[in-house]
Amino acid sequence: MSSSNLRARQTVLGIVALSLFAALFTRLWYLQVLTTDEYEVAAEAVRTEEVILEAPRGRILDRQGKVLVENVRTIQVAVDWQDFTDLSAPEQGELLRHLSREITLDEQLRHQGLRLGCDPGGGGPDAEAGEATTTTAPDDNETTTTTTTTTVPVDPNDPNGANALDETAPGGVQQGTDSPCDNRPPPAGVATGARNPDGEQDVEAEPPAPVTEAILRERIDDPRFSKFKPVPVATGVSEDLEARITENPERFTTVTVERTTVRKYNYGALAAHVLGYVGSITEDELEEYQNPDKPYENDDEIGKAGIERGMEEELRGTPGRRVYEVDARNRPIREIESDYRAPVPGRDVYLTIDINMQYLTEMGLADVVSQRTGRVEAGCVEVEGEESEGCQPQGAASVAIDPRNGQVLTMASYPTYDPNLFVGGISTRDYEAIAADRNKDQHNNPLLNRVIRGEFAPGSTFKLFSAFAGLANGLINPGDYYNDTGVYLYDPNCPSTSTVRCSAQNAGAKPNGPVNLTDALRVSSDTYFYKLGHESWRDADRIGEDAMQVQMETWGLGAPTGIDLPGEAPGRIPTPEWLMEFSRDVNGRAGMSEDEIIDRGTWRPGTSGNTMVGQGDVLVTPLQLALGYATLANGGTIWKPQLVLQVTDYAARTNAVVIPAEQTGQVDLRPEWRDPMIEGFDQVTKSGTASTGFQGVDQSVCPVAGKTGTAQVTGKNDSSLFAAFAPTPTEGRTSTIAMATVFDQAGFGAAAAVPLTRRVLEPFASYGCDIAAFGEKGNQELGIRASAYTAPLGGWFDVTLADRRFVPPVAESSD
Amino acid sequence: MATVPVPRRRPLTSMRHDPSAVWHHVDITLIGALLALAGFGVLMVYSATRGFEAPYDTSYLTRQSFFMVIGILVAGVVAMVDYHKILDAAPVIYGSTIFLLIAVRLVGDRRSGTQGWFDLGPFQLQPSEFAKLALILGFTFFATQFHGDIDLRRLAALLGLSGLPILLVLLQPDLGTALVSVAVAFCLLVAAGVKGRYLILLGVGAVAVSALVLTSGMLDEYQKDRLTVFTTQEQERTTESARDEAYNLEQSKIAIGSGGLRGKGLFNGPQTMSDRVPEQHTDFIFTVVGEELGLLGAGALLSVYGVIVWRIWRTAQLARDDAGSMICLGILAMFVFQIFQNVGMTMGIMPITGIPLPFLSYGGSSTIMAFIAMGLVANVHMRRFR
Repeated sequence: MSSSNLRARQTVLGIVALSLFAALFTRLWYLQVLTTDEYEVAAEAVRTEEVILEAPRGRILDRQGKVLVENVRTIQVAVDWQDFTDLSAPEQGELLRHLSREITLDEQLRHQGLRLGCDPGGGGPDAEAGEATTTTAPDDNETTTTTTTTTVPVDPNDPNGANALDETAPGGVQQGTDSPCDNRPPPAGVATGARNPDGEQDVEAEPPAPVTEAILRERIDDPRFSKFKPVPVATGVSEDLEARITENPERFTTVTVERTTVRKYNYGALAAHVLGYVGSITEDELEEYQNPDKPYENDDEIGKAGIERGMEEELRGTPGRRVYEVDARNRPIREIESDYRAPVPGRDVYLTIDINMQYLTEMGLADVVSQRTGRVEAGCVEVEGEESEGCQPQGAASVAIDPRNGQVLTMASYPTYDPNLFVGGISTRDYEAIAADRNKDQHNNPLLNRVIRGEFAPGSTFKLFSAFAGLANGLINPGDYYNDTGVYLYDPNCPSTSTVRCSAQNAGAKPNGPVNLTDALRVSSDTYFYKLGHESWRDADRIGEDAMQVQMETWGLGAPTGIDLPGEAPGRIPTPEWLMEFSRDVNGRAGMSEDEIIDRGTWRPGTSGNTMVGQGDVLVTPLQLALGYATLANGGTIWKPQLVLQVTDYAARTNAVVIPAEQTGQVDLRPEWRDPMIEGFDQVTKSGTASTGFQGVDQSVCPVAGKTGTAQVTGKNDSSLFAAFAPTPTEGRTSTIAMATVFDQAGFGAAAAVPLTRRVLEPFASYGCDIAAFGEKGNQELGIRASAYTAPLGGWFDVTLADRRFVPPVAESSD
Repeated sequence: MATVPVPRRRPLTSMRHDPSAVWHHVDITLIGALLALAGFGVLMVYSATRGFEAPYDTSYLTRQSFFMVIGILVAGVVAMVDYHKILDAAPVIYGSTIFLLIAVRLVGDRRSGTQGWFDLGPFQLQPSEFAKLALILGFTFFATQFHGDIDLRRLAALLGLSGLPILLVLLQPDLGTALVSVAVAFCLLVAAGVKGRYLILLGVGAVAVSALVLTSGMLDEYQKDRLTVFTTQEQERTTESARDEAYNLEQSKIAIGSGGLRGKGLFNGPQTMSDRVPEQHTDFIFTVVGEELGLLGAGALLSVYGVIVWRIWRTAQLARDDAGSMICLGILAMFVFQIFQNVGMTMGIMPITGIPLPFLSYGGSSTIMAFIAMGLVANVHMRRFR
């Protein structure tokens, strides 16, 4: 080969080399000059990781500022679902075996008081307040985890240790500790899950049931927990368990132990239906509540019921964030401090509820229910086709309102539940045991707030509205007397043996003699109101067939009151038109003939009469009833029932937004109508149907007015009602409370509802019916000693003891 | 008193008086460029491995400096021995390399799927690095005896000679080194004077073989993904390894691209510090240069490489005989292809293959091999007049 050829080849190779270098330069130029901005952005974007700092949820306080709901730090054991499912079956079994044994052991030791499961405070391996320590078993996966931590500011008003009790506490209760650290069985009527679905079972402080492997597995696979975050399997465990798990990562792979903050309901089940509870946000809720100011992450907590839900927007804190520069494995390198946003706690919500009065009410409900259960007497025998077992109360509700502004002072529903049960996630088993429809007979709906969702026949308590409708339509005159013979004949020729209902009678057909409006209310004369109903129907052509109903509805009946709780029932004021529609709907669907449908849907004089005494198709909620009597007491102003007193900054009373009273209606309540009615109601507790129940009550300062009611439903025991207001607004007094109480199937009005009302109003009267004076007792913050009626922390009471201390005389007289 | 005669000082060497002495013809430019590159390389390895906060990790810095020193010493030794003597030993070198390549397949260490290392305690010997040199020497040894007259039989012999080490390397499998060796062999065939039409046929054949290798089951999935990922940079990945490779490539490009004109500053590259680019102290060391020193630094580095390549090419031109010229061209091919392949893959214009960047990437075998190659070039350069 010639050397010139070789030279040429060398030149070619040189040119090739040169062009390759040129290509590299060009590409370098392209990347570093032409498109460098793009890569600059990409470099910024990929190297940070945001950690959401969850802000503490606002607290909920009572009207006196006693903390009802707050946040506490607790130790939680969780299992990472993703990693867990990656394990082989034998590994999973092994893990669950170890874990269930440890958790069960821990529970038992805590039960015996050998380990502490309470608020671990700031101590422990990671003392820095608010940072959750996550101990993860070593794994090689490059998982991107956003740790959510919660910071709890130090509350200057530490409620622990507050509310030292007098020894004369009615429940005889020593200082109640707080769930989930409390080992005592719950008070009667408090559902605590699968083992005690209706709360009636008298659970002794027996050792906790073992947490089996099956329970753990079920929990881990529970679809209600997010799979992107470790599933909590045990909450409130001891530091000892925490140490055992973190020190044996190889045995407890995929298990994490973290210190987290959870909701704590300081008064246990007290006011559970008002407070509600929180849980993990669902997809639908995420869509509904998502907002740029307080963004939600998957699996954040959100209010599910009660005020926790109703005031979600205020209670929710504004999440903060910490931005870290991270390396390829998402390990933080350093914090980018300029991007730090501090979490802002949610706002504190002050309720109009007075926890002391709430305590008296709930304890009373539980006590009265336990007393009435199994009682065989008039009103408690009519169980169709069955041998009578006596009264079997199916629940109860009581609500008290301040007539001056509509503020709700107590709202109690029986049976109830402990919201602490939902802390850390309630198990499917427990939830179904207390809420599933198919277990209804068992649990009797402890989650149901009967004050706003329970619709009851009001019985004679309805006579307030009937009387007003009669007066407003000019059908009765307060001064006119009617001779009550005990029986009212819709047809003067009604034979006593007629199969067609043409007559109606007082309870026990008791004759009351000549009665005017005042007397009719005092002695609860039914015939007086049957006559009114009959006459209103006879005059339908003149005044209109629903003239009475129109007047009743001016009191807000038949429509929700507008209280700030979800799911309020409207109640029902039946009209002729409605009855026919209802008959078509119900009877038509049952396949009845047209004639029968029309027959049953036809409004008759007796229907009218029944409506006047709150029977038949009339339904009201306890809240509507209380609101009605409040309206009477204040002279005709209908207030919107108000649960929230004010909203303030977290743990400080600054930036208070006081919720003003809101008037939703006005009843044209002329003094010439109101005065005789009030006089009649005032007499009820002195010489009327509730006089026995109020025997011995000092009514000199704060006289109580009210109306008993006994609602009769065919085939069921009577329901007991009492609506009251105090002090009677005469002689310059102003009523400060209106209260309505219903015991479902517990007997005559005077038998259950009246004693309950007395249990609340008698202590209240001893403080001059002044809610501020009554409620401030036991307010540690103000340095006021507890009274005998102060709600203890934990809300715990013993029904048997309470009963022994308070045995009111039971009325023998009928309704 | 007798005077003691002072002995006349004899010159220590006769170099000064011998105008054709090799010391007079040392390529200072090449050596200067090499030393600058060596220092720079050590610095870059340190930057890639020191970590982001004190105490800084200096173990890589120490070891790489040590390799550099060893490399320089070995290069000096290689430069001193006349390359003709080295060529005479080529069959031995070639033979023992083949032996090592076979041995490493049998008893070698496996690292990320490739069985290509002998574990010698503190030092891991990678025979495939030296196989490239052995190939050049063996090829030159034979080809120079043909004096440019290459018929098919001789061509077949040369192909067999080059093919054997390439095949063994491919079996490890060390795809990158095999590719470099193919480029080297092709360049040597050009330099040896193989006829143009054979070269074209060989080129076509090489493409066919590549296609065959890619489609056969010879390569693992991850290797194929590495090879093909750069052609589909904007597409969705289907396999996990493809996604990983795409991620690596993207991070590499982000590092270089975000460096811009001036770079983020030495020891100050976020991508580098956060360990986002894989293998950044070895195969992907160019990203460190690109990110921290920008276009100015990376351009300067490429320029220095350019200078070295130019000096190698010039040495090939000046070489006294075909053997010297052919050695230089082989080394030139090796360097150019290796630089182009390595830098190209970090910038997304070449497939990702595990090839070190000479004098920059951390690693004993590759560093020492590169210095030996430079020693050979200096050797040829020094002896261009003898």
